[in-house]
Amino acid sequence: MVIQILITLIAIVVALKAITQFRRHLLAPAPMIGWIIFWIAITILVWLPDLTDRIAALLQVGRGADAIMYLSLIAIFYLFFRVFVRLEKTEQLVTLLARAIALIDTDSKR
Amino acid sequence: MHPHTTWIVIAAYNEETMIGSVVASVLPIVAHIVVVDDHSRDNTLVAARAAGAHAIRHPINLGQGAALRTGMDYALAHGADVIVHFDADGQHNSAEIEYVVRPILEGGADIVLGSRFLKEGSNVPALRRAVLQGGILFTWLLSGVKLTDTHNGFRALSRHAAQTIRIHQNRMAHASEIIDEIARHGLRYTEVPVTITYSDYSMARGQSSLNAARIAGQMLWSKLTS
Ligand SMILES: Nc1nc2c(ncn2[C@@H]2O[C@H](COP(=O)(O)OP(=O)(O)OP(=O)(O)O)[C@@H](O)[C@H]2O)c(=O)[nH]1
Ligand SMILES: [Mg+2]
Repeated sequence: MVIQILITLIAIVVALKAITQFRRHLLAPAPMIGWIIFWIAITILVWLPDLTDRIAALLQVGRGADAIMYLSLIAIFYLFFRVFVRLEKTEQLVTLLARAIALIDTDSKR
Repeated sequence: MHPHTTWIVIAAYNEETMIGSVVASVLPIVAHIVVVDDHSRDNTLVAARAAGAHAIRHPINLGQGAALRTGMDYALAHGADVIVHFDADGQHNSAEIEYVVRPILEGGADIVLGSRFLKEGSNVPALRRAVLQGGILFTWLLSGVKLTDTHNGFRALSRHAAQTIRIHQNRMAHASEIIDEIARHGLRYTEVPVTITYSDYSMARGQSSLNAARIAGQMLWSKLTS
């Protein structure tokens, strides 16, 4: 019971945070909706252990909690990889810009 | 044979005490020098200009790989036929530029790589030697190119090679990347012996040997994700 309430509270806070970030133009609409759906799903799962048990049976792992653990681990690894790749891409864009600026500067000076 | 225009590209980071003498040592041999000041915290840019080089500056620090790329773009835009990479820290010998450039002028190679291990009596410190041997093995496994020295900043490229090779590694992993590009594009390469001088100045400022592991990691990562 305690953990369910705790997770629900966290879900509400994070979802609200996503909305305020969106309002401040710091988050695009698609990821905002994605995060809200994600946290609603988490909340549903913690309140309906039967559902997670059924998912566990489907995946052929022992308990519902285990199924959630496995799935979230996979999700985290995937997200981590995505962020890493995105970071690399951003770095390359910054490089492109900085190098172009260096070369433009010389054109105007010489 | 039409007259060739050779450009020296020097990536420099916080080298104000050394860059002037390096440029001065090269100028009598090659008239066209571009120094890329990689957003140094000192007066590298001014010192390079005062010594008679073209000098440009990155608006942020990007690393040696990116600086070489910027310098090559500059040289290519100014009509370079041959481009020579040269270190700013005084470790290379300008008298050897002609040997590095020669195979390209003679049409026998697209890219010439300097090797300190082909040079007799080179004074490479033991730890640095061990790390460099690791780099040689790593490059051979990764790119299938067997060289005697893979992480030497003294090299010459034909215009064609400079236009073909893509350097994406901003920092020190660009050395492995260049060799990988040689293999990928089937460029003709050769090695020539060059002297690398290890002074207290260069050792104090050079790459820590630990850093080599990080560089290898960067290279592997980019291979896996590209
Ligand atoms: N543009 C740029 N150049 C750099 C940077 N770090 C080093 N360099 C330059 O790259 C050259 C070689 O750097 P070193 O750190 O001495 O590397 P190295 O010569 O391969 O290694 P050592 O054997 O330790 O001397 C010098 O001309 C430096 O000024 C950087 O962050 N940006
Ligand atoms: Mg050095």
